[in-house]
Amino acid sequence: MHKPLIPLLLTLGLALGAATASAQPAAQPYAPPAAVTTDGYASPDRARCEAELRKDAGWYAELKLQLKDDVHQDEYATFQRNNKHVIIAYAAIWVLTVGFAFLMWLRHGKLAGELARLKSDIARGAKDADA
Amino acid sequence: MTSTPTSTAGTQRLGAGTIAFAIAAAIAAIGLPYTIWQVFYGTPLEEQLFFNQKIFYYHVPHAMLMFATVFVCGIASFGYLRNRKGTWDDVALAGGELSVLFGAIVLITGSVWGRAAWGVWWQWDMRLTTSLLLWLVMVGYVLVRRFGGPGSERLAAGLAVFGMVDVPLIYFSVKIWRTVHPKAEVVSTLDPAMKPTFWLSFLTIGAVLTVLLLLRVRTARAERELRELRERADDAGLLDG
Amino acid sequence: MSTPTPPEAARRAAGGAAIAPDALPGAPSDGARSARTAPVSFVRHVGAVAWKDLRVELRSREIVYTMAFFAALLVVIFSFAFVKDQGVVAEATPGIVWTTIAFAGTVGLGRAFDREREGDTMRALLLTPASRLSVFLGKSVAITVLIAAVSLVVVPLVTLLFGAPLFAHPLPLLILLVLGALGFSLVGTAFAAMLLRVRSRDVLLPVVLYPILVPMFIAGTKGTAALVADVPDLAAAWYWVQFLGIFDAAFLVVSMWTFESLVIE
Repeated sequence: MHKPLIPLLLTLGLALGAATASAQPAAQPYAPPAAVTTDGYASPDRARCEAELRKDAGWYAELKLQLKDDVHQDEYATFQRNNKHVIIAYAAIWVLTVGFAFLMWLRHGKLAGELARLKSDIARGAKDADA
Repeated sequence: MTSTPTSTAGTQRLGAGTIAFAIAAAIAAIGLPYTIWQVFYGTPLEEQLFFNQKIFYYHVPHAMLMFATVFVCGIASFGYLRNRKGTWDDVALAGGELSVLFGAIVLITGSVWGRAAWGVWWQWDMRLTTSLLLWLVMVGYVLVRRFGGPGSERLAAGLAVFGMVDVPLIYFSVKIWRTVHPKAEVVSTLDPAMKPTFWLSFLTIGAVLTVLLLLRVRTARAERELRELRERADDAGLLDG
Repeated sequence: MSTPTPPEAARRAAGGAAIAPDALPGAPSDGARSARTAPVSFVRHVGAVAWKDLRVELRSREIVYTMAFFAALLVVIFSFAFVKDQGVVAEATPGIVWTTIAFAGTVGLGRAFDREREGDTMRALLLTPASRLSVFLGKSVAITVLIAAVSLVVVPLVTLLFGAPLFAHPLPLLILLVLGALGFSLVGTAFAAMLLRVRSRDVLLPVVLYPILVPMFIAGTKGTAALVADVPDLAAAWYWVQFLGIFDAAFLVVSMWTFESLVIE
């Protein structure tokens, strides 16, 4: 009787797992590449910033790395490979449809049993009434 | 004029229903695996959304078929109000419940789509909002059927008819309200390579819907028969013990 | 069917209409037929039913007083959410007006039909020579008047408490409110009448009513918002007025179609 429940629960668990995995902050797709128009712009703040940057080589390297196209390429690739959302969506479709069909099947079985019992009750009642 | 013709009509409809069920079940059984294969392997990736666009093949047909089920429910309810035959009511109930199921699928897949494509779980986009509002009408219908008690069939039928009339009104009010996303028709601008898969998917999901609908009608009929039988047996005093 | 048997032909010749109302459920009753032949008496019946309801209300003033007080309470409760340190969230006022009217309207609607149920007068009302249609329209008119009376309290109150420029364009606002009240009472009367004999009607009335009324809420709020915006958009407001007109017309027709077969008595 409870055997069909197992695959149902398994699917549900899978969907839940996928949903929680996706709840972690995902990389924003289509983050526009940071504008790197450095020429011809001068301000006191910029001068100070550049001076500070020159002092700290590690920070400079880190910032430079962040400005690289590769980061965006990586995000783009992640987005391209992203199949998490498709899995969630298809899991939801299957869980809902199969769940509906399963509940309907249980309900119909119960109804059929009840109908048969009622009919036998009526038959007995009619016989009693005749007797 | 009362009972005999109705019951023969019922068996005739059952016969037609069985044939329709067999055809729909066959299409669903063959079509479903083939569609899934076609969606994932037989169709090129979309240029902007890549793999995420695969949601589309199931999301949009479900949305279109949800509207169809709302109209099934509304028209059957109208028929029930006109001629008071229980069969119409069974069809209306099945249509109503399936529109809630399909609506839930549309809203969930739409929300996931929004997350993948726009970065947010919910966007007050015109189509999603319309689906949500219509879904609320149908949830109201199912709630009335479940908790209304005796005599609620007619109320629910009235609600379904009103809801059917409400569909264009909801659509246009939301359209004007949310003109932020003036998108062109999604299906007609679809890449030609993706169109066959889309319509294949539509056909298969339509077959699944038909199977579920006919099964639900059968269950609804069993429910009604049980209720009527119990009432009649009670009236005849056959159920004292 | 092509060659009618003699008795059937005779019956048809004798006048199909005479047997039709009993044979076909949902066919127009005597009242509806007389309404078609005599529109004047139909309008008189509608007026009589509406005036009956309003006279009962004028005598006790129970519904108007409680509805108005409830509406005022709602407006005050909304202020907890929308009044900030420096002034009011101006965009919220259209929503406050329409939500308040909808909630108060539901309370009034339920009470108006409870009154019929308690006195068991609905059956008497339906047994009068007036057609079911005129009973329905009469009750709708009475409820429209009640809701309009509540709007007369809500709109000045919101203007006063939230400083919204609701009276900047009185005519479009008035039409919006009247059409909104009419739409609410048409759908509301149909459902409240259907729910008369249903057990959990108090819970089910808003559950079935609000989803159907969603287009009306959108039209009302957006129309009002267009009027109270910093730069009033009269064209948009008139668009929503027309939309509400279509909404009311559509549900007037549907209610008239279905009301006959919906009321359980």
